[in-house]
Amino acid sequence: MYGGQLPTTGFSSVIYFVVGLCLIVAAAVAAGARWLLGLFR
Amino acid sequence: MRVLRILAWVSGLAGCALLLYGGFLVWDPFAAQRQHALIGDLYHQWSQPSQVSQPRRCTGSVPQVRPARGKPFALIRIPRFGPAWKFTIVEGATLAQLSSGPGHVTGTQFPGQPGNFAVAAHDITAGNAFLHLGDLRPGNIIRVTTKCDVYRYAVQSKRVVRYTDVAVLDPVPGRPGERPRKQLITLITCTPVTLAFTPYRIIVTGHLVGVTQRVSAARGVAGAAGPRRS
Repeated sequence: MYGGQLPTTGFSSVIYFVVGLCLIVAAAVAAGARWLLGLFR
Repeated sequence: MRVLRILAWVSGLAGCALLLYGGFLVWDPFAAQRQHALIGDLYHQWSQPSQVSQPRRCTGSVPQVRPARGKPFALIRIPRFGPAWKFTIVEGATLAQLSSGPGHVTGTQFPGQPGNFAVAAHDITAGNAFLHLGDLRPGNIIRVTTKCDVYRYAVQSKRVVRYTDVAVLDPVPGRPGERPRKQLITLITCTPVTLAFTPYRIIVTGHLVGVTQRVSAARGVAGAAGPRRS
C-alpha cells in the first residue's frame, strides 16, 4: 500500500559533500605528489 | 608533472564546487519563497467557492476528491517549534513532493477521518521542516488547518523505527486490518540527520484533542484570510 517502506526524508544530498571532500583530498594528493617529484628531480 | 598539476586544479575546483553546492542545498535560500508561494496557492484555493481538490462546502474537512499530487491542502503548525513555524502539507510524500515541504503519505487518512493522518518531511533541506521533530514531547500540540477546520493533536508517543516498518502508517498503527476509532496523526522524518539514506525514521504519533472551525470558513469561503489560532 505504501510501497513497502516509509518515505525517504534524509539528507540525500550529503553525497555532494562526500564526493567534494574526496576530490579535494585527491587534489591535495596530486599537489603533494607533484611537489615530491620536484624534490627528487 | 603537468598532468599532476592539471589533476590537482581540476579536482580541487570540482571538490570546492560540490561542497558549495551541498551547502546551498542545506541552506536552501529559496525554501521560504516556495513555501510562501504554496501558502498563497492554498489560501487562493480556500477562497474559491468550489474546487476540484477541496470540499465544496464546509460541512467537514475531508476532501471529497483526493488532492492532486504536489498540491497543498492543509497547513501544519507546531507551537513548540516557534510562532513562525508554519508549513503547507502537499499531497504525496515522494522526494519530488517533499522538496517543497511536508507531504501527506498517500493512502493514509486525511485530518478529520478516523484513522491515521501521516505526514512526512525532510529533516534537512526543503526548509528543514522536521529537523527538530525528535524534540517533541508528549502533550505538545500539533495544529493542522484545513479549508474548514483547525485540528489540534496532542503528541502521545515518539519512537525510532526502521524504514520498512510501514505498520506505523496503518489506520490503527501496528494493527493492520483493525477498524480505527481514534483520529491520529503520525509525523515522520529520517534520523540521524548526518546520514544519507539512513534506515531509521523518527515516528511521532498524536491523537486528536480538539476541532474548531476555521474563522474564515465560518464567515464564508469568500472571506478566507487565514486560520484562527485556538
